[in-house]
Amino acid sequence: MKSKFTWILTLSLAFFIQFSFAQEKTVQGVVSDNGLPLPGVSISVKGTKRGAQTDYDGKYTIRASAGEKLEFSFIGYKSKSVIVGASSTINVQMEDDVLQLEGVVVTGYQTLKKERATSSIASVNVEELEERAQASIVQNLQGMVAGLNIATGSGQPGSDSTILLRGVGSLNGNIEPLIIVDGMPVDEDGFRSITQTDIVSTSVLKDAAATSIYGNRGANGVIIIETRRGKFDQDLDVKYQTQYGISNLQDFRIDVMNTSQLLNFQRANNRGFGGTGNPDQPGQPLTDAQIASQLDINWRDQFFRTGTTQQHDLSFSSGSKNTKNYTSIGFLDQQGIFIASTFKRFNFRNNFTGKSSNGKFNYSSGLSANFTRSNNVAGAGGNSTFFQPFTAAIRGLPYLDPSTALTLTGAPIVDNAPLILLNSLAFNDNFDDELKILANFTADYKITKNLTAGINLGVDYSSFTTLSVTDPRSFLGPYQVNINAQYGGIFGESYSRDFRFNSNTYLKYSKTFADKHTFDAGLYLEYYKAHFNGFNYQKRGLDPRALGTGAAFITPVIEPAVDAVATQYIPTVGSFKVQEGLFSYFGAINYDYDSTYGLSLTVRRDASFRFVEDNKWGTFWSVGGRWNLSKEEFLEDSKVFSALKLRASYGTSGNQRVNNAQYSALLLPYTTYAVGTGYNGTASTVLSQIANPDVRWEEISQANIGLDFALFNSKVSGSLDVYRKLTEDLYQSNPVSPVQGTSSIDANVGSLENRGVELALNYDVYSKDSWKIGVGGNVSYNKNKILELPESANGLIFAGGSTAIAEGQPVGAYYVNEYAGVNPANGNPLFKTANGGLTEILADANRVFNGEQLYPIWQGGFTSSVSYKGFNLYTQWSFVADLARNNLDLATLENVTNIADGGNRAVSIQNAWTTPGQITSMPRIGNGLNEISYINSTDRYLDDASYLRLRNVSFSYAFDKKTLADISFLKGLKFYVQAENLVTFSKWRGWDPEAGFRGTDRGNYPTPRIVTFGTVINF
Amino acid sequence: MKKISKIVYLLLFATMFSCNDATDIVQEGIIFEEDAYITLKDLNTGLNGAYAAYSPDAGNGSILFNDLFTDNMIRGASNTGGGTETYQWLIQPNSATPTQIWGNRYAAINRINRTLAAYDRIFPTLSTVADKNAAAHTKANLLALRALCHFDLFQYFTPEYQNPDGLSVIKMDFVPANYALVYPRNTVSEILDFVSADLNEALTLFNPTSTAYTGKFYLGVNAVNFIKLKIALLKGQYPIAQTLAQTLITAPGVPALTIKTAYPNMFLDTADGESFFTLSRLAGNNTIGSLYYFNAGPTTPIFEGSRQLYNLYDAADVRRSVNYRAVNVNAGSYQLNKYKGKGTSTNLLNDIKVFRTSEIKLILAECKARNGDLTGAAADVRDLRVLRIAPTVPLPVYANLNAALTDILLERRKEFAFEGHRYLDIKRIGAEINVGINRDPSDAASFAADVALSPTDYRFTLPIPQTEIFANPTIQQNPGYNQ
Repeated sequence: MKSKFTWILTLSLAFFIQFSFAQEKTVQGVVSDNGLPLPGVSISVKGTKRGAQTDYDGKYTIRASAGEKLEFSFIGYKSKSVIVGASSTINVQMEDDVLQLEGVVVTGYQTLKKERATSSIASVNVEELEERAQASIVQNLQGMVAGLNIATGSGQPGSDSTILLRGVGSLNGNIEPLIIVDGMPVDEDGFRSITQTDIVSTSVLKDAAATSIYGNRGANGVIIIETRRGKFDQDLDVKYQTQYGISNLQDFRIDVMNTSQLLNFQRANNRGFGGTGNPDQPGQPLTDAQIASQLDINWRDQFFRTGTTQQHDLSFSSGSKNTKNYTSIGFLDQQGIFIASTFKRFNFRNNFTGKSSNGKFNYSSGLSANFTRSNNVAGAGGNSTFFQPFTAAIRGLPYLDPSTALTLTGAPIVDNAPLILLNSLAFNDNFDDELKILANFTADYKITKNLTAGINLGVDYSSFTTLSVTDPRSFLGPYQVNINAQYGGIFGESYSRDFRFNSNTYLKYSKTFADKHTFDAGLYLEYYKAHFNGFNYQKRGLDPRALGTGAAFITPVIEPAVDAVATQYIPTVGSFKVQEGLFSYFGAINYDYDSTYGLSLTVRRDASFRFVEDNKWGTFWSVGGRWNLSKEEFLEDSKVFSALKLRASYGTSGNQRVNNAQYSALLLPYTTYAVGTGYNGTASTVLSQIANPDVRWEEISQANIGLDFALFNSKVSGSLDVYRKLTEDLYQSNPVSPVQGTSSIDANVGSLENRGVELALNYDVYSKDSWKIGVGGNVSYNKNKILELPESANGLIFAGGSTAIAEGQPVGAYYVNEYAGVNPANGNPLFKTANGGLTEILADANRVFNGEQLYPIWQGGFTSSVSYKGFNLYTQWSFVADLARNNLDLATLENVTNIADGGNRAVSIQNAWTTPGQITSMPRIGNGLNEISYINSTDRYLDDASYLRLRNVSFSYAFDKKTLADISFLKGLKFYVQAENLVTFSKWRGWDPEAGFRGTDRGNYPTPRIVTFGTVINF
Repeated sequence: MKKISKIVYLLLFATMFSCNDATDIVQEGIIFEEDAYITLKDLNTGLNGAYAAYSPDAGNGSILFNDLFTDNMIRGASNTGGGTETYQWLIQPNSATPTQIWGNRYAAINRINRTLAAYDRIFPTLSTVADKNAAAHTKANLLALRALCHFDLFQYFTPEYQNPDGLSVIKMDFVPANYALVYPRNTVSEILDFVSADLNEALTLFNPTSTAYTGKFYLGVNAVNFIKLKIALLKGQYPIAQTLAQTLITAPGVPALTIKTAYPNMFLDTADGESFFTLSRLAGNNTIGSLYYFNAGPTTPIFEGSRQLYNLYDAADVRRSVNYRAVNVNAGSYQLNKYKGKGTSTNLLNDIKVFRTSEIKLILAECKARNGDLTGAAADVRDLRVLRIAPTVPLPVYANLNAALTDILLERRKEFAFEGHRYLDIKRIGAEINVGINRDPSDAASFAADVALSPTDYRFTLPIPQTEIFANPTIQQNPGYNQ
């Protein structure tokens, strides 16, 4: 009865509107914010197609009749509606949309109002990131989202980071979240090619209710990035951003010896140059005068520099009635702090959106083309003495003369490593070029009022070209063939193409019944295919006169001093081609009752090319619910709660990347053979892999309970989440008896869990009289535990090194002999035995789990923002805590086994034990344990790598519109100065506590401190 | 507008049909099991792969280990720490060498067994006698190599050679049906019987007229008989061993002992010399010299020969200059010469001499001594020294067996330095006469290591590697290595 009445009412209302056209008049007014005119506000007359936008002065005009409702809306402001009365002037004051629970969440398949989301989704405030100076956009996210951990292990501009959300979810499989850019899944390792200024929103989906719909790739969470688009009916808006700055080395926190300290120490111990290097009396120590006459070089100054950064971004956005467009071009040139590292990027983007005039058909396309060139450092983190500049920078002998590097001759002896490296860096090249094209097309068509069909196609294309040249004239050049050969040097290139195609077609239904029951449902079909191929060659033996192209290549010839047959100078070549594919169909239903209760369901079937037969398809599902308590009567008038929402979800998702890399583990269910180098100059057919036909989906189920809240008139807002993530059928390398021809196989064995709590809070401290002070922060706690391992392992898999995998322990738990100091009797290091005694011998039987692990348990960040009129001071801190890492840099500098091994030492070894009974922390010179023994077997150099870092601080001034009013072409002008990594608090002794998720740190490229000055101009 | 909706439907349709294209992917360039071995030629490529797998010259492999663990090496000037644990006798189940030897020999055995399984399929399809003989010859090579691999494993991982019921290694004469299968250790007698059976069967299958897979680069009749000789020696069957050695040293195809002037050429690979089983190493193969040097050239030693060994050689001993080069006693530099390259080459690539007539000669001397003929033993040792040092070396006088074995052990050290014998020789002979490792203190100091290790130390048997223990709950560790 009631509904029938509604229909009649609607019908008569329609008549009324038709009728009332006759009485339309022109309404005009000004829309403002705190007295300042607000351009670009959309005004529409409810129930009609009439609309308008405010102009530059905030003015608008629109045709409307008395009794009609004008709706004013603008992103970032609360929508307002005013009923047209007798007056023809309606001025509106817009208010900031401070209600954190409102706003829109984009999930790739759905766009929801945040208050209607049943899942745990964190949005990043993109404005805070826009002017950051990192070449890789993911690095900017560290510390911004509770539970999201971005670890960057290299200071190379644009270097890849490891992204972890809610802990490590797999042992061998993929651990990084799925990244979606404009609805299209992209390579999680390719973020140097996207510019921050193109990004309009970044959301992080954490719980199963949000990620389950991404089934086959969402097990580790999903990060959704949307790029900018224009607006309909928008005048041309031009924005130019530029910044210029410098980067330099952060503090190095180990005291290394200077020349006088080192040579005196060597002399006192009768070793090395100081002890036996007297040029006048062979084998005798240096005299005081000879020591004093030596150079004193700080090798850090030789290998590092102050780098410069410059960036320019220019964007155009405009819109007509049915189209809108965004185009941007940009250029970034960043020098690394290491002398031979640079990064250049050119980026272009065009996003176009169009619609039919009735609004039923929408389409959009996005195209971004980016070219980057990096000049890299090979060898960072490695142990090749002559290819390890970061080790040479701390171990270089301080009395060597860097000016001799370019003319160095003789045999490559360890002592000369820093000189050889300087020589190589001066002569040799190592370029890495990437062309990345992201293209996507989406279209949807409203078949009926409630039913929409659509398609989303995306291509992620990358081509990589590398060029690596060892100049035959460089010091190491002649060694690349044979020191006795006439020609040396290496010239190598590689080329590869990575093409990934994704398509998603869907049918969506949306209907509201009886005003209060809203159903949204969708059916989706997804297809994914990826192709990777490439080739490479390497040529040894170059004529230096023609270096640069193949013209320098020497054809194979016989040189008796090298080999009796013409084997030298034969180039090596390679070629590869691999594919991946996935296919899925899935459905989702969202139900909302009066914006108070909500329920979401998803179910998904996924097939992966990696598995066969019954294991091919996986089924994943989720269910989520919410209760918006603040909509209930008992909270309606609450002075405390402005918004309150309780969420709960449970669901599953799958991981099919058995190894943590795209294009790996492609054929696990099959036994395969390969053509190999045979014995005595023949070809061979040999086993390359034994089959594991049982390999199947790794399944992650996650339970999440969360609370979103806004308190005290939304002055305080935030969210709290508690979760448990269980990974079953865990991918790990399952030990196999070597009689099988291999010692491990990738298999689904065991389980692990992550449990955690996440809290995000924002507080508007003060907001009055042009002042605005706000603080925010997030913290997360994640406890990882391995629940089950292969039966044969007896609860422990230990394959050497300092970590082991064990039931009840977290991934990356250290398993070591505990160092117990120096034996006062003989100066040897002591270790604890399993039964509590002391020993000088390292034995696996005495190893224990010492409670430390390589992944952090705590992590988070906080921000503060203080604004007064146009001034703003912003800070962002990030921290990780409760993690440990082997400090091999320090261990090497404190090696006392052989103090004359061609490297400098830390000042601390001056405390080495010398006399029986002496109590000291440094073992005797010449004892048997070197740095590798300590790192692999003990906790002596297992250091706390927790840190608190001022990741970003920026100070800016934006001119207000009144000041700019005199300059007719300027719409906005802002200046800023900002710094990355300005201050770090950490106990870590060495380069950089932030080092990726590494168990051992040796000679890595430390992340820099970057300071830039910039300006943003709007035309 | 209708047109557009049609396009949308069409795309929807197209996507649905391409499902298989995404999920049933055939990667290119992959050989699946059923295509691996079909013809006789394929079978031979399997044998080529099996020989290629056998690599005592690999990094952390048996050749380097024998000298580094004992007393024939020191740290080189370009060493950045590698080898320290071996030199300091820190041998544990996860150490590199036991893992390498166990993994390498069983990987070779796995390749052999896969090829033998293919032989069983292919042989019945062969029609001509020539093909059948060729296939049989291939099988003989496979069996001989399988025996050699098991025999290597036996020597390194068996604690008591002469306890027939003691634990030895795992007998593998088949391809496991799936990856999860594991096997317990067999006894000493089971392994030795199995190895002997393989050797005897190989002897019946070798095709004397074959032109392929013959010569010093392949295991032939003489190599097989030599392994049989070594088995008799390990078993302590000295009279049998003496007869076998006596027969073998004059057998057709066994080269004469290389004379002094020709001795360097054998190691330069410019003459065959007395090696009757040599691992061929060609360009692109593993370069054995890179175990000891960073760069071809070679000027950058990772390991050098020991001062102690250098001083053991008479100045006139050709073996000193074959093993050492550019020695600078004052600077403590004793660079190795043995594996610098073939001929005048300096690319560190050399063939690996596995079985040499000198070893038959010294085994013969050992057997004579053990069987009571001390003067006969002395004469054999002198015969060898004449060909290494000078025509007039005195005949050694052995007061007793102990003295004879001590001298023979020393001669073996000098003759087979850097060829993968020293550790096994101390284990087999040293334990009997209480001669262990006793390094020169200045040699030991190069790695900050200890000087002496008793020949009866448990570390003269390698531990079953951790890789096997993880996978195999039925395996039993060797004594001394706590699990």
